[in-house]
Amino acid sequence: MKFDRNKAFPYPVLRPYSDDYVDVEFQTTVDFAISGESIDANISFALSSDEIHNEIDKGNAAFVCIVSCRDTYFRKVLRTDNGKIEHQFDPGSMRGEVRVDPYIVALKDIYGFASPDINHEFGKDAFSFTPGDVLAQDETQVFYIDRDLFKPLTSVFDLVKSESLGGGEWKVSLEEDHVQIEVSPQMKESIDNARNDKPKQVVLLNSLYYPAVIQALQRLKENAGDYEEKRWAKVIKMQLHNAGWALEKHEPYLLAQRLMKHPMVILETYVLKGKD
Amino acid sequence: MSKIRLLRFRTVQELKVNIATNLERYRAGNFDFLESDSSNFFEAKHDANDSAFVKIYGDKENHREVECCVAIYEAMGALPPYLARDDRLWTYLTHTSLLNYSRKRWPIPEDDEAAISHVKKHLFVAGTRGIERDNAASRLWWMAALCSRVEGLSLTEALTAFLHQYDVRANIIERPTTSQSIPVFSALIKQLAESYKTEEKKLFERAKFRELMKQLNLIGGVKLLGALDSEQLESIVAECAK
Repeated sequence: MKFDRNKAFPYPVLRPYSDDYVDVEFQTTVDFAISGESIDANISFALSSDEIHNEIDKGNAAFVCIVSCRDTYFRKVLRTDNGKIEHQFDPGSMRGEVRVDPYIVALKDIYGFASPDINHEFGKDAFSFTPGDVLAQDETQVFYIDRDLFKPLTSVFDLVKSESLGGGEWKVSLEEDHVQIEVSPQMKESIDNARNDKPKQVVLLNSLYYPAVIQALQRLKENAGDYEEKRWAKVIKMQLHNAGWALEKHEPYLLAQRLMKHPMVILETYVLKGKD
Repeated sequence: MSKIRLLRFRTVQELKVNIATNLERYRAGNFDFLESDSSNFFEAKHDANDSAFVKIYGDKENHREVECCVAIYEAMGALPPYLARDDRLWTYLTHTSLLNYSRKRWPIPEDDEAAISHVKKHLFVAGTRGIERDNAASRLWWMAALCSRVEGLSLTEALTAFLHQYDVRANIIERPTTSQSIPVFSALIKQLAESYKTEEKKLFERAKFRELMKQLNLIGGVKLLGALDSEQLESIVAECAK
């Protein structure tokens, strides 16, 4: 059952953009965290209708969240009576767009339901609900799951050598599926030699990858359409969407720090404070 | 047993670009170089039962859809859906172990222009629904994977009911709320399986099945079917099927 603000139910349903109820609300906060090899969902329901709350307390209704992924035919129904759900998903079960649909649903027959918050246009009669009937619904929230989101953002950045470059100059090319950071052959060799040294890696992250991420974000902000099909652009956009950071509302240098999980912190740890 | 292989992204791109020049290979040749040169592929951690691939055969007249679905599920197993959604996996198979099956089941047109589109559609993964509908290999696996989730029926029984009529299959698969929800999908396939056992097979009649889906949609518009248990759902679907 999709959220549709124009849909009319044969009984009052508490939902956004609807005046079936007045002065009360049902809101859901969904947080999807992709870390390591797991997907952790934290879902909180906020409900200000005492009468619907009473039905949940009596076991007649429950908070329900349907997490679904069209691409993998995945669908999980999560249910609670205490307003909070924490669930760990198998990362192999979802790919691409994941939709989260929150509801309050009748689990048993409910007779004589009434609330002073129901719009008086419904009349004075009490309502009855049967199992599966929706008492409240919130808007669909969308997240993106992709294998590359489990990796550091720099996994879609490739370091390549360019014969035309000399000295310390380097360039960023955005025309391939991965962002190409082009350096001179000599510089490439030096960087490759530094791969197994953590402090050197941290310096590279801050001096080479960080500005490259800023450049990618800046170009994406200015000309998103040019890069629509590029893998790096899709990964950045999915990461921004999942974190709730709008590219048009934030400066690229700030977003780059957040997407890279604040590279200055590891610079401080490994270089400035000199941790081994 | 051998590790499941996926073509490298670059190799898929090269094959796509070269469909026209490779048309004779697609019609009567092979792509053995993909298997022999390891720079073209990488291996997943999952195993494939290669011996089951020989059971996947059919042609334009005799599709053997149920048998082929069962065989590919036997060969590939219950893959994680994330991996099964990867076009590189299925493009490898349609160019290697299942190349012969693919061109017999989906004969390549004589006209070159038509042949290029045909190859793109059935030997690669094209479009958002191509993986479950068009690719010669992936469509078999995804139909088997969906039917393997039906509670109370064997894979063959569920596939037989699901694949008996193209219109029925398309109606189910194109409605994500029906095909994604295991209890709803199971209830529907069980009704179809019951009808399949009868001489009339009434539920497979286009009008009858469409009416069932219409009724189910109407109920699903106000009732959250996903929140109901299997028993409640089976009773709703049975009522809609009357």
